[in-house]
Amino acid sequence: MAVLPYILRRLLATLVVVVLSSFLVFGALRLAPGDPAIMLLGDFATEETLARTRRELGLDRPFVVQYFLFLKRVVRGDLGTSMQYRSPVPDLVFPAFKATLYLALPSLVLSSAIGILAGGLAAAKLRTWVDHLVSFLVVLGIATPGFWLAILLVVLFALRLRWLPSSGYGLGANLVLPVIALTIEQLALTSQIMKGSMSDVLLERYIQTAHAKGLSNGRVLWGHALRNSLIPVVTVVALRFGALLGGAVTIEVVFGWPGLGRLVVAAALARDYPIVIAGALLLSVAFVGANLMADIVYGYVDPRIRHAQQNA
Amino acid sequence: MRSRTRSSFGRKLVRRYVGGLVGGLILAVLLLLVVVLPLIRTVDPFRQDLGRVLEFPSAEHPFGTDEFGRDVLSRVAAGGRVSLLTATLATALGVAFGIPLGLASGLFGGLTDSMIMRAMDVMLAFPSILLAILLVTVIGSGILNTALAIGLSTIPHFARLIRGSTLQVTTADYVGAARSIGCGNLRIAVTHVLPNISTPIVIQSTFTLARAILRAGSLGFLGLGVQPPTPEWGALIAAGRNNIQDGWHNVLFAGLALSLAVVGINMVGDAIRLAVEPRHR
Repeated sequence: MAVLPYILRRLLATLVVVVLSSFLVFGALRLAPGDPAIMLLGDFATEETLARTRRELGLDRPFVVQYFLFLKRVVRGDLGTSMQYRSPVPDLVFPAFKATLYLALPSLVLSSAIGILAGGLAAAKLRTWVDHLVSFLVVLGIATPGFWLAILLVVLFALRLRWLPSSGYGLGANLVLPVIALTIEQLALTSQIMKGSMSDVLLERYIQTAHAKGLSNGRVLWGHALRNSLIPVVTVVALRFGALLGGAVTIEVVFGWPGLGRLVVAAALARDYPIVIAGALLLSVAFVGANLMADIVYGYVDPRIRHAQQNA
Repeated sequence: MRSRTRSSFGRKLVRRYVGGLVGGLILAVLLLLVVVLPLIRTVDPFRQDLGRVLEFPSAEHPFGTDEFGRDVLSRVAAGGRVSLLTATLATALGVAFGIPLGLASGLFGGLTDSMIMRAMDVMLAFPSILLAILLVTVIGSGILNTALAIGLSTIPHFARLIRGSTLQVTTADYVGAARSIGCGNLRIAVTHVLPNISTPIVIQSTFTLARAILRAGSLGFLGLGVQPPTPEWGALIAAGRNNIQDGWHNVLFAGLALSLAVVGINMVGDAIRLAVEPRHR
């Protein structure tokens, strides 16, 4: 069975979801109270200038027309102009997205690596102190809000010890504290899933076979068991990518990081629709894209999934 | 021999229930702090004392004071009531909408099923915090609106879970028997399916409640939750952040309360799951 039709089908489903969510975002924001023209011009603008601005922004057209005009512009790559900053939306949104990725990607890699290692170890040493320690840390990690931890990290490492900067944008020392905070926020869940999946796999027959062949514990664990344990972990990591981008919102605020989340929240508070729409769309595309990647990765890794999808 | 068996059984019991006991204890302490303490220790969480700002913990102010000289303990307690209420309402919303959607999906199948599940997919295609931010932008902040914003993104999780459990239950003989004597879908859903899938719903609700507390904290922290001067855990952390140089205890206690609530609820949830689904060990 070919992989390509599977990918195409997943791609098409993804596209439908993206278009539907764009409609939702657009619709929701058009229902929002507050006249963007007044927001833009202030309370003292004359009725005439307000009407002209509404016409310029297309706010006088019917909703559906506005939506299709918006779609047409998006397809052409025209995301509009920020009402607050008066500059093209892409010039604001894309650099911000890049800044968010600088935080999200290292955290994704770190939390996956450490989580797989910790979860795997806990499963291999089930009901020993290693397992109990990991479980304890997982319970704590899940319950700790990342932004709170981030503030405590700032108090300790930036204000008391003065080892690291407390805020600011940069790819060196500035990156350390936000990435640590974001990693810890993700880590707990990854190790929990890994432990569950690994301990299930370790009960399989082929693991007994591997032991019976006389392979070392390490070979069995990290060679045979690891690969099959990773499937649920990949799903969760991909699904959590959205949560990672979301978790980045509060971390960005703590560290004054000029990321997309912070931009969208500020725009939402100021009712700067074009930024909110573009930012929300970009985040949901990134999120759905990550899920699509995970689906494709499985399609290659595990033929059973590909075939099941085809027969469904 | 006999006593040895008993003691190992006792150890098993302890191992099985210790998590739930500790979790329950944490929750009890927290509820004492949030609900009972304000009845005994009547310190106004809004009363300012500008002569005593950002004081560290003392006998008079066990959690210290904030930047306006307000008592942090009573603010954390009052904030807890807002946070817990918001999270409870959000979870109730998820359950209230998730149950009919999941039941309909699982029982009717076909077109109804695919339409409901595709709608849930679209909702899941949105990072949940983004959905909450958008919704709060549109409908404004406040306890009810924040609960709505958080609860909305929990609906698809409940709907999926309930659909799956419904599909499992409907293969059982008693459902076939009910159908064969002419029971309609509604009757099967309410009297035969729902009681038999209540366990996973209860378990999912506890974990959702814990997540909702965290999410309410995030929104409060971002300034999108309840508005000051109303205290709420996330908003308290945000306010404390302005004075972390001298008054970091403000941030510490509000966050500790939030974390403890989540730890406690999750541990109780785990204990329930352990008790009813031995597979999970």
